[in-house]
Amino acid sequence: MNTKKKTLFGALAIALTGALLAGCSATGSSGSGGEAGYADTIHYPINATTASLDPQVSPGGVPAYIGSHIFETLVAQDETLTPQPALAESWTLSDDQLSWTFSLRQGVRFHNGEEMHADDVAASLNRWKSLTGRAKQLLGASEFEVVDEYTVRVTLATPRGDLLAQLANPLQFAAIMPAEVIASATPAGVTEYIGTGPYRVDAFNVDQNVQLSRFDDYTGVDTEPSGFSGRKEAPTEHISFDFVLDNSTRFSSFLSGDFDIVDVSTDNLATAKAEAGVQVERRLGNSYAVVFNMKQGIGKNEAFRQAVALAINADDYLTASVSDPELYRLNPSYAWTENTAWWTDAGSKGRYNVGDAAQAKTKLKESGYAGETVHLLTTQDYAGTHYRASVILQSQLEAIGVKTQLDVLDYPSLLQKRNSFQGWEIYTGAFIVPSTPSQLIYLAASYGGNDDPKLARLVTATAEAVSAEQQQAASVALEEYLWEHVPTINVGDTYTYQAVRDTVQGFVNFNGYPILWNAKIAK
Amino acid sequence: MLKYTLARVLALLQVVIVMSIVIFALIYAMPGDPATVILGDTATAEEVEQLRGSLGLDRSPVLAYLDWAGGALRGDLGESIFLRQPVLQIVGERLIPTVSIAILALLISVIIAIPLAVGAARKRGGVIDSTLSAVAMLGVAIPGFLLALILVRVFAVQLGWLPVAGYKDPSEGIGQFLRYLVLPAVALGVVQVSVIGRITRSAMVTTLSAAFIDVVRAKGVSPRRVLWGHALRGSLVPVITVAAGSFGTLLAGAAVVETIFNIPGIGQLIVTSITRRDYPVIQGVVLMVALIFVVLNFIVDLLYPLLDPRIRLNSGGAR
Repeated sequence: MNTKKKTLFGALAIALTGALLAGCSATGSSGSGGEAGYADTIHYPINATTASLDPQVSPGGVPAYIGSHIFETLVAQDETLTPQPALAESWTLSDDQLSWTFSLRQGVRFHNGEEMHADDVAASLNRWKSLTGRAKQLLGASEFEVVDEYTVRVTLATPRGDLLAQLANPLQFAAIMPAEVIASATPAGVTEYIGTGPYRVDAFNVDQNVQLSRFDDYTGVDTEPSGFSGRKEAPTEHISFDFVLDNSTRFSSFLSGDFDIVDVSTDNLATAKAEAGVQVERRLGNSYAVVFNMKQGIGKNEAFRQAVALAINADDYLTASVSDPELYRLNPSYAWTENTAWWTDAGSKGRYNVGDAAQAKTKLKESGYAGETVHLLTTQDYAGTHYRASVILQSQLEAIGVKTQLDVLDYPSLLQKRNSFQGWEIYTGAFIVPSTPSQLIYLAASYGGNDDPKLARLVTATAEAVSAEQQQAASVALEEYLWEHVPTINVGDTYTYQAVRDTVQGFVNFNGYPILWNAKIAK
Repeated sequence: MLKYTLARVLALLQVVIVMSIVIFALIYAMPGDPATVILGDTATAEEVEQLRGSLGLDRSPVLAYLDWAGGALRGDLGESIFLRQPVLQIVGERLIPTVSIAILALLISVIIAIPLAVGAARKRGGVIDSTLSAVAMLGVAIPGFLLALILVRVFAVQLGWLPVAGYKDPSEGIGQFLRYLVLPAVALGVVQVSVIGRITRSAMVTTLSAAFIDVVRAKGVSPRRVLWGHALRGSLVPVITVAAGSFGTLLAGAAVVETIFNIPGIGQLIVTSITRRDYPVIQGVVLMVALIFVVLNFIVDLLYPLLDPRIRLNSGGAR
């Protein structure tokens, strides 16, 4: 190598080293702009990605987690899952219980500076109805109409006690957006993310992050924060929801200080607990259930379904699904135990968590099962939770003499196959737990294919129940029917672990939804 | 040479046409579609069908292919169903991190592999030869994702020298840009060290026993110059071929490393696009990566006579 070349290589090496060292001096998430002594940005890791932040279109959890910081609803769930005023300051129900009139808060601004009016609300809610299966079922042909500048009304065909619960449902939620944004929306979603929430969208870098900044003109309700309801103070100027799909990467990023909050898998639990200045918290996550294909095949056979219910040992099923006895609890109901309005164990005695092979075999014989292969539809997506649940269910079914086959597909293929009702008999996995039974997706005829007018009537009765007594009675009737005829089987509830640094204040994980609008991180 | 080049361009076009048909057919054969993904769990069959119609997914596959191929010829690969951006723009943006990692990984592997291989060939069975064998064994034996996780734990979490994951655009400073690329590039590069190292050593051993090396030595050329100037150059044809293949592998195989290091590159894009069934993006990415593969091989073919004057090309590509 001649002298010139040596000099060139030397200069290049020095430049690269210098550049790397310069890069090393950069820091993570702190800075000025928030409250003094607190970081100006919270980085929150999200374990799945989304192509749209439109919460009306996307049924997944990610648009809901992020969207709740950007968009608001007329009413919002509090910690007891009770709808509280949000964009609506009050509402009235007509004497015939058909007509709901909502009075809107005045002076609420969208992120584009425009004031929110009744036409925005009506346009948003009518679009939500057209896009959301449960809203269509709830509202039928009814539409939200403008009464005056700050009042909207909807008149239903039959009384529905669950209207407020549906409007407050945080998943595929009834977000209020400007009417012009609704008008320019495409089938894949709105093209601008403009809401009334405490944070507005600065940048949506698909598959990387969603960067939000505090909306200075935010005017919310002034009640104690509780669940999705109450005061939203936005003490931190910026929130960055960072999409980090790999579990170990999220946890390593937490350990290195890039994140102050992270979900913790059982593999990393011991490390998280040993970390100084970190609290590991357990939060309710999902509920596991078994759904039968009731359109065709052996799933139509009630005795067969009852045999499956008798075969299930819920402890074994849930242990295998979540890998940690601390991460589940037995629950025969479709509602959380905490949801006192709806929770009941009616009908479950002698039918739930039996795990008795002898009883199950007797019932199987009674069903006339002739040894045909039962296909369990499942996926390795969603961190393998559905798959593990299917594997343990398969072993419990094999133990009573049912011949089974696991059909493992990726989630989009699974959706298509499940919707076709061809080539599968059983689907099992984790489900999001709604606040009322009428929102349970697996009870809809389009999900498991059940064409059962009695079941439909019982679900409708829960929706129509207005008083607490009516709701409990309707729930008891529904649960008794479900345990007797088993179109689905509730297996139990699961928790997730989350590690949070002691420096984090005001953060709430509400049934799996991160609530960061009152959170701040001490430097 | 001109005849040869034209013949290769023609062959390249044939490959691209066949490839585009295969890509299109494979994608349409996949179960699940964007409408199912958009509408999710709660949609009825009628709603899915309605959305399929409004997204234009109910057209005949042949017509859809002709439309797409016509657009591709005009440089328009369509628009992403989910991202609502032109596919060419998306692929262009995502190529930058992936190509940067691939280049850095290749650079790292060449810088490590070639000196090791030259040393190993010079003294077969010596310390350097054993080191190369060990590195080659490790490179082949350790899965890329495991090496990536070990690197993260040591250099990012324990030592805190480098970031755990993420990507910074070059516009944010070359230092930051490189800091975020080092670990993924090393994780990818180590596997290539074994590939390039083994082929270089083997080629060097053959070249060092060639008659022209004896002639060069007899002319009194220094041993160092014989090794690095003559033997290495004479061994470069297989090395360049393997390096070009490695580059293509690095591009196509970046999905795992990009997922672990959370890098918004082509690998991550293809994974998420398949999950979403974003047909135009899947088609665009696969076509682009395949094109890069084909073009790289084409360039390598053209490089052969420059590296080794003994190689003369005719239109059939024979020496």
